[in-house]
This record gives sequence, C-alpha cells and structure tokens, in this order.
Amino acid sequence: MSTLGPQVLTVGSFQKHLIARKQKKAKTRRLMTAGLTLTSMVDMFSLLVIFLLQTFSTSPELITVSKNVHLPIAVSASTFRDAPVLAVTAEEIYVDQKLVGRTDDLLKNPQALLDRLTELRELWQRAHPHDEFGGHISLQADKDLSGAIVSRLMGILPSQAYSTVQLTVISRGGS
Amino acid sequence: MAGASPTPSANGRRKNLDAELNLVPFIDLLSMCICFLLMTAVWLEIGSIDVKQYLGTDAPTETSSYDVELNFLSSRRAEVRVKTPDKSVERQTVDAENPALLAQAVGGVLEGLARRIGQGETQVVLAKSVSAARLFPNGGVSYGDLVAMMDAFRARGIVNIGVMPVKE
Repeated sequence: MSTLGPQVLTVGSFQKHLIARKQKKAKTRRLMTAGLTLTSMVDMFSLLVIFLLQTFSTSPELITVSKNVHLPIAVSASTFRDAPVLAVTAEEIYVDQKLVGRTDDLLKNPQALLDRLTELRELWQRAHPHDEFGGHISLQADKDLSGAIVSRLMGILPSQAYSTVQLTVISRGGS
Repeated sequence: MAGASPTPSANGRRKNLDAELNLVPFIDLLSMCICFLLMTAVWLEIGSIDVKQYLGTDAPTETSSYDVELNFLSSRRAEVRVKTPDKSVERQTVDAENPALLAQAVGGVLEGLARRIGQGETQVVLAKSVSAARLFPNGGVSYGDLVAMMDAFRARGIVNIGVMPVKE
C-alpha cells in the first residue's frame, strides 16, 4: 500500500469567492428609508398659493357677522365703512357684539337700546371733540327677518342722531 | 468653478451629470405663503347700502324733481307712486311670481319713468330727476326682499332711499 506524503489543504479560488461574497453581504447595510415623491405636494401647494392670491385683500376693516345672521345679497352695494354695528335677529338685538335685549321687548320699550346708542354717541363725541357727529350706524339683520321689524328699528335710530344707516349686505359685483 | 465634464473616474464608471434640486426651501416658502394668504383671504365680500332716514321737514323738498314711493302690498305685489313736479301722482301696481321678479318688474317701471322724463341712460336721468325714494315694507315682506328692492333702485341711479316704519 502506497502512502501519500503529508498533504497541505489550501483554499481554492471558488471558496475564496464564496467567502468574499459573504463578507460583502455582512458589510453592506440595508437602507430602511423609502424615497418620498414631493412633486405632487409641490403642485398642490402651488395651486393653493395661486388660489389664495386671488382672494387676497388689503382692506383694513374686520367685519364680524353675528351668529344666526344671514345677510342679504346686493349687487349695487357700496364699500363698507367702519361704524357701530346694530345686529338684529328674530330673538335678540346686539350693539357692537353686546347683547341689549330681546327683539320683542325692545320694540315695545326701546329705552335700553336708546341708552346704549346714546352712550356710543357720547363716547364718540368725547373722543372727537372738534368733529361733528356723522350719525353713521351699520345694521346687520337676517334676510328672513320681517321688514316691518327692521323698519321700526330704523325709525328709532334718527332720534339718537343716527340718520345714516348702512345696511350690511353680501356684495356680488358691487361698485 | 464647478464644471461637469465626462472625466473617467477612478473605478472606470461615468460620473452622473444630473444635479439634484433641493426642494425643501421651496416647500418652506410655499408653506409660509399659504399661511399668510389664508389669514388675509376674504371669503365674503361685505358691502353696504346707505339709507337716509328722513323725518318731517328734514326730507328733501325739491319741487322740480320727482318723488317715488313704493308700498309693498305683499312679497309679490307692490304699488309704485310717482309724484311729478306738477304735483300729480301716478300710480302703478306691479305683480310678479316671486320677490326677485318683483324687484325686476319695479326696475322696469323705473326705466319706463326714466324714458318719459328724458333721453339718456336710466341711471343718469333718474339720479338727476328723482330726489328721493321711500319704501313702505308692508304686506309681511322680508328684510331680504326689502334689500333686493333697494338694490333695484340703486342700480337705476336712485340712491336717496328711505325706509318708512310700518306696523306688522
């Protein structure tokens, strides 16, 4: 029986390739983040900006429409001027956002309303001692309210020197 | 100066010439614009209709001009009275199917009046000739219908409008 001499085991080229591949896999980290496509969001933002630019307004007046008051629509409305606001609903009457009383009660006995209007007028006259009182007042009323109620309230106003009533409306293609 | 030329890289691959655009500042700018414009946007255009409330002798007493009175008989019927300079009174009753059409019909009456008074645009003729208009909101007419009627008057040049107090 012949014997082979001492044998030295060496790693072949294929084995080397397998080892290198395994090490490369171990070194390479898998990315856990996903790419986010921002194109559609940028498109949406651009459209929003263009739309909002069309509704942009530099008008300084901030008009608060009272709750439960749906204003009527008018085509030939003028620019709204700053003035005390008398808001009328079927139930209550407010002057400058402060409740004065119930509509029915004030129509029968308008003293509380007259006192409040006098107070406002005197405040204005104290703040503008050299100017003549203009008598401007804004009236906000719900469009379904009876015209007779509004006319009676408007009849009360001149007694307190409020001769020019501006009826607040929603302007559609106004002047 | 940065340039882009296809120089061969060390590992033999071609260099990518596409430049990446950083959209983050642009998105920030758009967000700020949107926030600002949302605060200043006007959703409802508010206007006003001026009404002069006349009492007794405070009313204009122009004798050479016309005076118009409109009495609501109901939300679909109204009577128009025109006081002419020669003290005569013309009356006309206007009927319509609904309050919006009533305002249009009354507008037609005013246009007819303008044609009788003189030549020219309705707004100009009525603005010169009609000193005041008074509305009587009888007949259970709503405030919205009253405003629509006032709108019809203003659209035809009559801006001195008064609303007379009536009982319900």
